[in-house]
Amino acid sequence: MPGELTLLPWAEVTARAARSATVVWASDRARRALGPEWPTATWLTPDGRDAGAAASASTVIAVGGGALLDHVKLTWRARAPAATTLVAVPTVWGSGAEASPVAVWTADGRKQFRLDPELRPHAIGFDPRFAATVSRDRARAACGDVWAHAIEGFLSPLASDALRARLAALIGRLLELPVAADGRWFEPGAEAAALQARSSVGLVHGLAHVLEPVLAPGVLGHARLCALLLAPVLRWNAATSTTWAELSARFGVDRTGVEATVATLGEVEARRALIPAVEASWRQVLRDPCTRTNSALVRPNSLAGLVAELEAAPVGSPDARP
Amino acid sequence: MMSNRAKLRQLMLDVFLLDEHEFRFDLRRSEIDTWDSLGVVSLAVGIHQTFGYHPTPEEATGLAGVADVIALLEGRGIDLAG
Repeated sequence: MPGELTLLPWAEVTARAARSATVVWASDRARRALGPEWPTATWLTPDGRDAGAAASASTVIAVGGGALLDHVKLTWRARAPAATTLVAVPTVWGSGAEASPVAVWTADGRKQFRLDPELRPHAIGFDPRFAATVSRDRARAACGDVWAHAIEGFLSPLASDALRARLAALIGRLLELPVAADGRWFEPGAEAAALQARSSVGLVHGLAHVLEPVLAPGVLGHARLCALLLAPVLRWNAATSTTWAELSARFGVDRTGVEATVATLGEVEARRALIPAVEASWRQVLRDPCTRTNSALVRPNSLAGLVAELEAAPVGSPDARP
Repeated sequence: MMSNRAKLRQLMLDVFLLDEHEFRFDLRRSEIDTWDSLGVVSLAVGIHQTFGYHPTPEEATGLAGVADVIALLEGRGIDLAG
Protein backbone atom coordinates (compact mmCIF):
# COMPACT_ATOMS: atom_id res chain seq x y z
CA MET A 1 0.00 0.00 0.00
CA PRO A 2 1.20 3.55 -0.61
CA GLY A 3 3.08 4.81 2.42
CA GLU A 4 0.53 7.33 3.61
CA LEU A 5 -2.26 4.76 3.97
CA THR A 6 -2.56 2.86 7.21
CA LEU A 7 -4.07 -0.57 6.86
CA LEU A 8 -5.68 -1.78 10.09
CA PRO A 9 -6.12 -5.49 10.80
CA TRP A 10 -9.80 -6.36 11.04
CA ALA A 11 -9.41 -7.26 14.72
CA GLU A 12 -8.20 -3.71 15.37
CA VAL A 13 -11.18 -2.22 13.52
CA THR A 14 -13.50 -4.38 15.61
CA ALA A 15 -11.76 -3.37 18.82
CA ARG A 16 -12.05 0.31 17.95
CA ALA A 17 -15.74 -0.09 17.10
CA ALA A 18 -16.44 -1.17 20.67
CA ARG A 19 -14.91 1.93 22.23
CA SER A 20 -17.31 4.49 23.68
CA ALA A 21 -15.65 7.34 21.80
CA THR A 22 -16.22 5.62 18.46
CA VAL A 23 -19.25 5.88 16.21
CA VAL A 24 -19.91 3.59 13.27
CA TRP A 25 -21.53 5.19 10.22
CA ALA A 26 -22.67 2.28 8.10
CA SER A 27 -24.88 1.48 5.15
CA ASP A 28 -27.81 -0.83 5.79
CA ARG A 29 -26.12 -3.58 3.78
CA ALA A 30 -22.94 -3.22 5.81
CA ARG A 31 -24.81 -3.30 9.09
CA ARG A 32 -26.62 -6.49 8.07
CA ALA A 33 -23.36 -8.09 6.97
CA LEU A 34 -21.57 -7.16 10.19
CA GLY A 35 -24.37 -8.71 12.19
CA PRO A 36 -25.74 -7.94 15.65
CA GLU A 37 -22.71 -9.40 17.35
CA TRP A 38 -20.38 -6.69 16.05
CA PRO A 39 -19.48 -4.81 19.25
CA THR A 40 -20.46 -1.32 18.18
CA ALA A 41 -20.95 1.37 20.79
CA THR A 42 -22.85 3.84 18.57
CA TRP A 43 -24.40 3.35 15.13
CA LEU A 44 -25.28 6.22 12.83
CA THR A 45 -27.87 6.01 10.09
CA PRO A 46 -26.56 5.89 6.51
CA ASP A 47 -27.88 9.35 5.63
CA GLY A 48 -26.11 10.86 8.63
CA ARG A 49 -29.18 12.70 9.94
CA ASP A 50 -28.02 11.78 13.45
CA ALA A 51 -24.43 12.78 12.66
CA GLY A 52 -24.41 15.10 15.66
CA ALA A 53 -23.32 12.03 17.62
CA ALA A 54 -20.12 12.06 15.62
CA ALA A 55 -19.24 15.57 16.74
CA SER A 56 -17.78 14.39 20.03
CA ALA A 57 -16.38 11.10 18.74
CA SER A 58 -12.64 10.56 18.58
CA THR A 59 -13.06 7.95 15.85
CA VAL A 60 -15.63 7.48 13.11
CA ILE A 61 -15.66 4.14 11.33
CA ALA A 62 -17.42 4.51 7.98
CA VAL A 63 -18.58 1.19 6.52
CA GLY A 64 -20.17 1.14 3.09
CA GLY A 65 -19.76 1.64 -0.63
CA GLY A 66 -18.09 4.57 -2.29
CA ALA A 67 -21.13 6.84 -2.09
CA LEU A 68 -21.42 6.45 1.68
CA LEU A 69 -17.68 6.86 2.22
CA ASP A 70 -17.65 10.03 0.11
CA HIS A 71 -20.71 11.32 2.02
CA VAL A 72 -18.90 10.85 5.33
CA LYS A 73 -15.76 12.47 3.95
CA LEU A 74 -17.72 15.50 2.79
CA THR A 75 -20.09 15.94 5.71
CA TRP A 76 -17.95 14.93 8.66
CA ARG A 77 -14.29 14.54 7.78
CA ALA A 78 -14.11 17.94 6.14
CA ARG A 79 -15.25 19.65 9.33
CA ALA A 80 -13.92 17.30 12.00
CA PRO A 81 -11.33 18.43 14.56
CA ALA A 82 -7.77 17.55 13.61
CA ALA A 83 -7.36 15.03 16.41
CA THR A 84 -10.20 12.81 15.23
CA THR A 85 -9.70 9.70 13.14
CA LEU A 86 -11.67 8.39 10.18
CA VAL A 87 -11.39 4.69 9.47
CA ALA A 88 -12.90 3.74 6.11
CA VAL A 89 -14.15 0.21 5.53
CA PRO A 90 -15.34 -0.42 1.96
CA THR A 91 -18.00 -3.06 1.45
CA VAL A 92 -17.17 -3.27 -2.23
CA TRP A 93 -13.92 -2.49 -4.05
CA GLY A 94 -13.58 -0.14 -6.97
CA SER A 95 -14.31 3.47 -6.08
CA GLY A 96 -11.23 3.78 -3.91
CA ALA A 97 -13.08 6.32 -1.75
CA GLU A 98 -11.41 4.70 1.25
CA ALA A 99 -7.97 5.70 -0.02
CA SER A 100 -8.54 8.84 -2.01
CA PRO A 101 -8.39 12.57 -1.21
CA VAL A 102 -11.23 13.06 -3.72
CA ALA A 103 -14.96 13.03 -2.94
CA VAL A 104 -17.59 12.94 -5.69
CA TRP A 105 -21.26 13.86 -5.65
CA THR A 106 -23.95 14.85 -8.13
CA ALA A 107 -25.52 18.31 -8.07
CA ASP A 108 -27.48 20.20 -10.70
CA GLY A 109 -27.31 17.14 -12.94
CA ARG A 110 -23.50 17.13 -13.03
CA LYS A 111 -20.81 15.22 -11.24
CA GLN A 112 -18.98 17.45 -8.80
CA PHE A 113 -15.56 16.81 -7.27
CA ARG A 114 -13.65 18.02 -4.32
CA LEU A 115 -9.94 17.27 -4.07
CA ASP A 116 -8.52 17.97 -0.64
CA PRO A 117 -5.81 16.02 1.19
CA GLU A 118 -7.85 16.50 4.36
CA LEU A 119 -10.60 14.31 2.90
CA ARG A 120 -8.38 11.24 2.79
CA PRO A 121 -9.33 8.78 5.55
CA HIS A 122 -6.60 8.11 8.13
CA ALA A 123 -6.87 4.35 8.06
CA ILE A 124 -8.51 1.57 6.10
CA GLY A 125 -9.95 -1.70 7.28
CA PHE A 126 -10.76 -4.58 4.95
CA ASP A 127 -13.02 -7.46 5.79
CA PRO A 128 -12.88 -9.88 2.85
CA ARG A 129 -16.17 -11.39 4.03
CA PHE A 130 -17.96 -8.39 2.53
CA ALA A 131 -17.11 -9.87 -0.87
CA ALA A 132 -19.78 -12.51 -0.24
CA THR A 133 -22.41 -9.73 -0.23
CA VAL A 134 -21.41 -8.50 -3.71
CA SER A 135 -23.47 -9.80 -6.64
CA ARG A 136 -21.84 -11.13 -9.79
CA ASP A 137 -22.83 -8.07 -11.85
CA ARG A 138 -21.75 -5.62 -9.18
CA ALA A 139 -18.44 -7.45 -8.83
CA ARG A 140 -17.76 -7.16 -12.54
CA ALA A 141 -18.50 -3.43 -12.43
CA ALA A 142 -16.29 -2.98 -9.36
CA CYS A 143 -13.43 -4.82 -11.07
CA GLY A 144 -13.88 -2.48 -14.04
CA ASP A 145 -13.57 0.53 -11.76
CA VAL A 146 -10.29 -0.78 -10.34
CA TRP A 147 -8.95 -1.61 -13.79
CA ALA A 148 -9.90 1.86 -15.07
CA HIS A 149 -8.04 3.55 -12.20
CA ALA A 150 -4.96 1.42 -12.74
CA ILE A 151 -4.79 1.76 -16.53
CA GLU A 152 -5.75 5.42 -16.79
CA GLY A 153 -3.40 6.34 -13.95
CA PHE A 154 -0.60 4.40 -15.66
CA LEU A 155 -1.22 6.08 -19.03
CA SER A 156 -1.79 9.56 -17.63
CA PRO A 157 0.44 12.25 -19.13
CA LEU A 158 0.87 13.50 -15.56
CA ALA A 159 2.32 10.21 -14.22
CA SER A 160 6.00 10.05 -13.32
CA ASP A 161 8.11 7.04 -14.26
CA ALA A 162 8.23 6.00 -10.60
CA LEU A 163 4.44 6.08 -10.37
CA ARG A 164 4.10 4.15 -13.64
CA ALA A 165 6.45 1.47 -12.31
CA ARG A 166 4.23 1.02 -9.25
CA LEU A 167 1.06 0.94 -11.34
CA ALA A 168 2.65 -1.55 -13.75
CA ALA A 169 3.39 -3.84 -10.80
CA LEU A 170 -0.18 -3.39 -9.59
CA ILE A 171 -1.55 -4.23 -13.04
CA GLY A 172 0.47 -7.45 -12.94
CA ARG A 173 -1.22 -8.36 -9.65
CA LEU A 174 -4.68 -7.48 -11.01
CA LEU A 175 -4.13 -9.88 -13.89
CA GLU A 176 -3.89 -12.72 -11.35
CA LEU A 177 -7.34 -11.98 -9.92
CA PRO A 178 -10.61 -13.34 -11.29
CA VAL A 179 -13.24 -10.88 -12.54
CA ALA A 180 -15.58 -11.98 -9.78
CA ALA A 181 -16.60 -11.34 -6.17
CA ASP A 182 -13.34 -12.05 -4.41
CA GLY A 183 -12.06 -10.44 -1.21
CA ARG A 184 -8.58 -10.16 -2.69
CA TRP A 185 -9.79 -7.15 -4.73
CA PHE A 186 -10.14 -4.83 -1.73
CA GLU A 187 -6.48 -3.97 -1.19
CA PRO A 188 -5.40 -3.53 -4.83
CA GLY A 189 -8.60 -1.56 -5.42
CA ALA A 190 -7.59 0.95 -2.75
CA GLU A 191 -4.04 1.03 -4.06
CA ALA A 192 -5.19 1.73 -7.63
CA ALA A 193 -7.25 4.71 -6.46
CA ALA A 194 -4.49 6.08 -4.24
CA LEU A 195 -1.87 5.83 -6.99
CA GLN A 196 -4.17 7.21 -9.69
CA ALA A 197 -4.84 10.23 -7.48
CA ARG A 198 -1.17 11.15 -7.97
CA SER A 199 -1.62 11.45 -11.73
CA SER A 200 -5.02 11.63 -13.38
CA VAL A 201 -7.63 9.55 -15.12
CA GLY A 202 -8.71 9.84 -18.73
CA LEU A 203 -11.50 9.40 -21.24
CA VAL A 204 -13.16 6.45 -19.47
CA HIS A 205 -13.79 8.69 -16.48
CA GLY A 206 -14.57 11.72 -18.63
CA LEU A 207 -17.34 9.75 -20.32
CA ALA A 208 -18.57 8.17 -17.09
CA HIS A 209 -18.77 11.48 -15.26
CA VAL A 210 -20.82 13.08 -18.04
CA LEU A 211 -23.05 10.08 -18.73
CA GLU A 212 -23.85 9.08 -15.16
CA PRO A 213 -26.15 12.04 -14.40
CA VAL A 214 -27.61 11.94 -17.94
CA LEU A 215 -28.71 8.33 -17.74
CA ALA A 216 -31.52 7.31 -15.43
CA PRO A 217 -30.15 7.53 -11.89
CA GLY A 218 -29.29 4.16 -10.47
CA VAL A 219 -29.55 2.43 -13.84
CA LEU A 220 -25.88 2.70 -14.68
CA GLY A 221 -23.62 3.72 -11.86
CA HIS A 222 -20.08 4.96 -12.19
CA ALA A 223 -18.42 1.57 -11.75
CA ARG A 224 -20.57 -0.13 -14.37
CA LEU A 225 -19.95 2.68 -16.83
CA CYS A 226 -16.21 2.33 -16.30
CA ALA A 227 -16.47 -1.42 -16.84
CA LEU A 228 -18.45 -0.95 -20.05
CA LEU A 229 -16.25 1.81 -21.43
CA LEU A 230 -12.74 0.64 -20.58
CA ALA A 231 -12.19 -1.86 -23.41
CA PRO A 232 -13.49 0.38 -26.23
CA VAL A 233 -11.62 3.41 -24.91
CA LEU A 234 -8.39 1.44 -24.56
CA ARG A 235 -8.79 0.19 -28.13
CA TRP A 236 -9.50 3.74 -29.32
CA ASN A 237 -6.44 5.03 -27.45
CA ALA A 238 -4.31 2.34 -29.06
CA ALA A 239 -5.59 3.19 -32.54
CA THR A 240 -5.02 6.91 -32.01
CA SER A 241 -1.75 7.10 -30.11
CA THR A 242 1.34 4.97 -29.56
CA THR A 243 1.38 5.72 -25.82
CA TRP A 244 -0.26 2.48 -24.64
CA ALA A 245 2.04 0.36 -26.84
CA GLU A 246 5.17 2.27 -25.81
CA LEU A 247 4.48 2.45 -22.09
CA SER A 248 3.29 -1.14 -21.76
CA ALA A 249 6.51 -2.33 -23.45
CA ARG A 250 8.70 -0.01 -21.41
CA PHE A 251 7.22 -0.97 -18.05
CA GLY A 252 6.72 -4.66 -18.75
CA VAL A 253 2.92 -4.61 -18.74
CA ASP A 254 1.33 -7.67 -20.35
CA ARG A 255 -0.63 -5.69 -22.94
CA THR A 256 -2.27 -8.74 -24.49
CA GLY A 257 -3.34 -10.04 -21.09
CA VAL A 258 -4.73 -6.66 -20.06
CA GLU A 259 -6.68 -6.23 -23.29
CA ALA A 260 -8.12 -9.75 -23.01
CA THR A 261 -9.12 -9.13 -19.40
CA VAL A 262 -10.75 -5.74 -19.88
CA ALA A 263 -12.71 -7.23 -22.78
CA THR A 264 -14.43 -9.48 -20.24
CA LEU A 265 -15.76 -6.46 -18.34
CA GLY A 266 -18.19 -5.30 -21.01
CA GLU A 267 -21.62 -6.25 -22.23
CA VAL A 268 -22.34 -5.68 -25.92
CA GLU A 269 -25.94 -4.49 -25.72
CA ALA A 270 -25.45 -2.30 -22.66
CA ARG A 271 -22.44 -0.72 -24.31
CA ARG A 272 -24.24 -0.05 -27.58
CA ALA A 273 -27.13 1.46 -25.66
CA LEU A 274 -24.75 4.18 -24.46
CA ILE A 275 -24.04 5.48 -27.96
CA PRO A 276 -26.94 7.96 -28.26
CA ALA A 277 -26.03 9.51 -24.90
CA VAL A 278 -22.35 9.69 -25.87
CA GLU A 279 -23.24 11.43 -29.13
CA ALA A 280 -25.62 13.85 -27.43
CA SER A 281 -23.13 14.72 -24.67
CA TRP A 282 -19.93 14.76 -26.73
CA ARG A 283 -19.22 18.48 -26.36
CA GLN A 284 -19.53 18.13 -22.60
CA VAL A 285 -17.28 15.05 -22.66
CA LEU A 286 -14.62 17.06 -24.50
CA ARG A 287 -14.65 19.69 -21.77
CA ASP A 288 -14.52 17.23 -18.87
CA PRO A 289 -11.27 17.59 -16.89
CA CYS A 290 -10.61 13.84 -17.06
CA THR A 291 -10.99 13.76 -20.83
CA ARG A 292 -8.45 16.55 -21.10
CA THR A 293 -5.79 14.44 -19.38
CA ASN A 294 -6.40 11.36 -21.51
CA SER A 295 -3.28 9.67 -22.85
CA ALA A 296 -4.44 10.24 -26.43
CA LEU A 297 -5.75 13.63 -27.51
CA VAL A 298 -9.55 13.56 -27.68
CA ARG A 299 -10.66 15.80 -30.54
CA PRO A 300 -14.15 16.85 -31.64
CA ASN A 301 -13.86 14.45 -34.60
CA SER A 302 -12.81 11.55 -32.34
CA LEU A 303 -16.47 10.69 -31.78
CA ALA A 304 -16.84 8.51 -34.88
CA GLY A 305 -13.88 6.31 -33.99
CA LEU A 306 -15.04 5.96 -30.42
CA VAL A 307 -18.58 5.06 -31.48
CA ALA A 308 -17.13 2.43 -33.81
CA GLU A 309 -15.33 0.86 -30.85
CA LEU A 310 -18.47 1.03 -28.70
CA GLU A 311 -20.23 -0.84 -31.50
CA ALA A 312 -17.61 -3.41 -32.28
CA ALA A 313 -15.00 -3.91 -29.56
CA PRO A 314 -14.92 -7.63 -28.75
CA VAL A 315 -16.38 -8.83 -25.48
CA GLY A 316 -14.96 -11.85 -23.70
CA SER A 317 -16.53 -14.04 -21.07
CA PRO A 318 -15.14 -13.70 -17.53
CA ASP A 319 -15.59 -17.46 -17.22
CA ALA A 320 -13.31 -18.03 -20.20
CA ARG A 321 -10.34 -16.29 -18.62
CA PRO A 322 -7.41 -18.56 -17.84
CA MET B 1 -1.27 16.02 -47.47
CA MET B 2 -1.71 18.55 -44.70
CA SER B 3 1.20 20.96 -44.13
CA ASN B 4 2.69 21.18 -40.66
CA ARG B 5 1.26 24.67 -40.36
CA ALA B 6 -2.22 23.38 -41.14
CA LYS B 7 -1.71 20.52 -38.68
CA LEU B 8 -0.79 23.00 -35.96
CA ARG B 9 -3.82 25.14 -36.72
CA GLN B 10 -6.12 22.11 -36.51
CA LEU B 11 -4.42 20.98 -33.31
CA MET B 12 -5.04 24.33 -31.66
CA LEU B 13 -8.70 24.30 -32.76
CA ASP B 14 -9.17 20.80 -31.38
CA VAL B 15 -7.29 21.16 -28.10
CA PHE B 16 -8.86 24.45 -27.13
CA LEU B 17 -12.24 23.86 -28.78
CA LEU B 18 -11.96 27.04 -30.84
CA ASP B 19 -14.15 28.00 -33.76
CA GLU B 20 -12.30 28.50 -37.04
CA HIS B 21 -12.79 32.26 -36.95
CA GLU B 22 -11.27 32.49 -33.48
CA PHE B 23 -7.87 31.20 -34.56
CA ARG B 24 -4.86 33.38 -35.43
CA PHE B 25 -1.20 32.46 -35.56
CA ASP B 26 -0.49 35.35 -33.18
CA LEU B 27 -3.04 34.19 -30.59
CA ARG B 28 -1.74 34.37 -27.05
CA ARG B 29 -2.57 32.06 -24.16
CA SER B 30 -4.22 34.91 -22.28
CA GLU B 31 -6.80 35.20 -25.08
CA ILE B 32 -7.92 31.55 -24.85
CA ASP B 33 -10.09 30.60 -21.88
CA THR B 34 -9.49 26.89 -22.33
CA TRP B 35 -5.67 27.28 -22.33
CA ASP B 36 -5.61 26.55 -18.60
CA SER B 37 -3.47 24.01 -16.73
CA LEU B 38 -5.40 21.09 -18.26
CA GLY B 39 -5.08 22.76 -21.65
CA VAL B 40 -1.32 22.71 -21.16
CA VAL B 41 -1.49 18.93 -20.64
CA SER B 42 -3.76 18.40 -23.67
CA LEU B 43 -1.55 20.56 -25.86
CA ALA B 44 1.57 18.63 -24.85
CA VAL B 45 -0.18 15.34 -25.64
CA GLY B 46 -1.39 16.74 -28.96
CA ILE B 47 2.05 18.07 -29.96
CA HIS B 48 3.56 14.66 -29.23
CA GLN B 49 0.85 12.86 -31.16
CA THR B 50 0.93 15.24 -34.13
CA PHE B 51 4.60 16.13 -34.46
CA GLY B 52 6.38 13.32 -32.57
CA TYR B 53 8.09 15.66 -30.13
CA HIS B 54 7.22 15.36 -26.44
CA PRO B 55 7.57 18.77 -24.75
CA THR B 56 9.06 18.74 -21.27
CA PRO B 57 6.78 20.01 -18.49
CA GLU B 58 8.83 23.22 -18.38
CA GLU B 59 8.47 23.75 -22.12
CA ALA B 60 4.74 23.02 -22.05
CA THR B 61 4.01 25.38 -19.18
CA GLY B 62 6.24 28.06 -20.70
CA LEU B 63 4.26 28.32 -23.93
CA ALA B 64 2.57 31.71 -23.95
CA GLY B 65 1.03 31.65 -27.40
CA VAL B 66 0.89 29.99 -30.80
CA ALA B 67 4.15 31.72 -31.77
CA ASP B 68 5.90 29.95 -28.89
CA VAL B 69 4.59 26.58 -30.09
CA ILE B 70 5.98 27.34 -33.55
CA ALA B 71 9.33 28.37 -32.09
CA LEU B 72 9.48 25.22 -29.94
CA LEU B 73 8.77 22.93 -32.88
CA GLU B 74 11.11 24.74 -35.28
CA GLY B 75 13.81 24.48 -32.62
CA ARG B 76 13.33 20.70 -32.92
CA GLY B 77 13.75 20.78 -36.68
CA ILE B 78 10.05 20.70 -37.55
CA ASP B 79 9.32 23.07 -40.43
CA LEU B 80 6.24 25.22 -39.89
CA ALA B 81 6.90 27.76 -42.58
CA GLY B 82 4.53 26.46 -45.22
